[in-house]
Amino acid sequence: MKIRSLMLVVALMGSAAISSNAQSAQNARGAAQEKIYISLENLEKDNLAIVDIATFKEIKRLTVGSHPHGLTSPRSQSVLYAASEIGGVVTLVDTVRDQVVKTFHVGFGVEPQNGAVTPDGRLLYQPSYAGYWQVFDTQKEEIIDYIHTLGIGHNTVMAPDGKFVYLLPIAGGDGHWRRPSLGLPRTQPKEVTVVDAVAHKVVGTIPVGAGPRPGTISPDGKRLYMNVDDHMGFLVIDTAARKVISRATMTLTADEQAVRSRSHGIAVVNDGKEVWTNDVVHAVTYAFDVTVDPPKQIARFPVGRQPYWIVTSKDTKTVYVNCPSDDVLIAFDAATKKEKARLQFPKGTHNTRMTVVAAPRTTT
Amino acid sequence: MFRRAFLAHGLLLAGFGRQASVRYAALSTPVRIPLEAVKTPWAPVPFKAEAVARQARRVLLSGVLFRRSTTGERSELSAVCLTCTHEQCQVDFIAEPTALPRTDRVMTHPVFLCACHSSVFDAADDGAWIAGPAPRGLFRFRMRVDGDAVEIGEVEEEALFAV
Repeated sequence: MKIRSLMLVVALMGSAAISSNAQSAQNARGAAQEKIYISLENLEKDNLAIVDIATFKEIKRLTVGSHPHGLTSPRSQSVLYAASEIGGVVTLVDTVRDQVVKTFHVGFGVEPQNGAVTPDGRLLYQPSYAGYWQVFDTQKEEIIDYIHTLGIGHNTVMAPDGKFVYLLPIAGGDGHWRRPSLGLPRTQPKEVTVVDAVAHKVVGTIPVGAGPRPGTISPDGKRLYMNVDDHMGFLVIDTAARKVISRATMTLTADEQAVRSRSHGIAVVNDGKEVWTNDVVHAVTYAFDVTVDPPKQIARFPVGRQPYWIVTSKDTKTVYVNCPSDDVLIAFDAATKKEKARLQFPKGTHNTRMTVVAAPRTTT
Repeated sequence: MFRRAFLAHGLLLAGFGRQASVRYAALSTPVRIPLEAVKTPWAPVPFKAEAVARQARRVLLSGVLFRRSTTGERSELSAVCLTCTHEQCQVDFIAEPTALPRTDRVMTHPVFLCACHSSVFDAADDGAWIAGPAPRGLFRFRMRVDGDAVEIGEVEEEALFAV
């Protein structure tokens, strides 16, 4: 009897162990791998760096179209679209295997910029420097519509639920209008165009008083935060009312005020409670509390030269700042605002735009 | 004969017009750098300059003074502003450029390169534009040799509105 009971206990323990191992394997297969995909502006080859967030190490380089200047991934996170300024192409990347799948040569116009794909992955809103957005059907692999905003098509923000997409054309100063042979539009719209992302129809505009720059959106989609020309900080836009409701302003020193800079790069941090943004020329990153209105500056800290872009881990607890003049990517702890780690790229790499993808792990 | 004279005068006038179209503004205080400091070619000496723009706005400029050759002539000195004329990022001096972005041109002398959008400027030609989205070359400073020093006293007026 005792022996029979002992055998039963051993059998149960063995079964539990097998079940546990199977569950672990299942979890390992199912868990996503968070990676940062980084445009390396200065390189013609190996110009998309892939950094594993868990180890904060570069794990691979891919070659996408020349001068990648925009990265976007759908909700599945299994692919990535990389737009290339030179050559007018968009490259499709498999983020599970980290391989280039194909390059779309469909006439994306002058200098494709930072687009956004709908959460279901069906439509890519791809801006062109020439003043319009192209609606690219990723299944048909063709451009099915054009949305003319005037200005210079540049940055794009997708609402979390995928209902609306916000088109942010830059107004451009002399640095843009005098560019040779681009055939640029001569308007400076200083507004955000709101588009029904499913029907790809313009449903409204939001006057912002200055040229839109990079933007991001709160997790609930109620607030659009956006850098603009000639304002050190960012605007807060009520997306339901479609109007600017306040502005966050950096506190600059007297010497900083004497050197013109710009805010470029913006991210929602700490579950939507904070927004971080860069002062490019003075090499400073700022954190603002956006639970109050107007947002309150809560921290400023030096980073590398020319901080250009900011993203966060998917839980928004770690913030990554790209500083291309120093070829460095800096990780900050969002809670303490302290630097956690630096990833140094080779000199002259020039890491600029980036995005974080939680790629499904391969089952093979 | 008449045609040649006309062409010569025309070119002279065109040159004069181009020169006259660049306006310079005085710095608040001239910057003095010992000639000895720029004895070595292609070894830029950084400096800060201050000027006043419209509406009494104080402007701080970052520049470099450097020698382009070893002949010792004043004309072999250049002083340029490090602010990229595209979007205000600070350009870097690249002493030995290898492959340059956005151009197939092979450079055998130093350039200035902007890390933000890869604009390239010719260090041997006073920061003239070579490639990239910048609409023009780097802003230039005017200088004169005064005894054993270089005195930088003016900057292109356009720099005051762009930086």
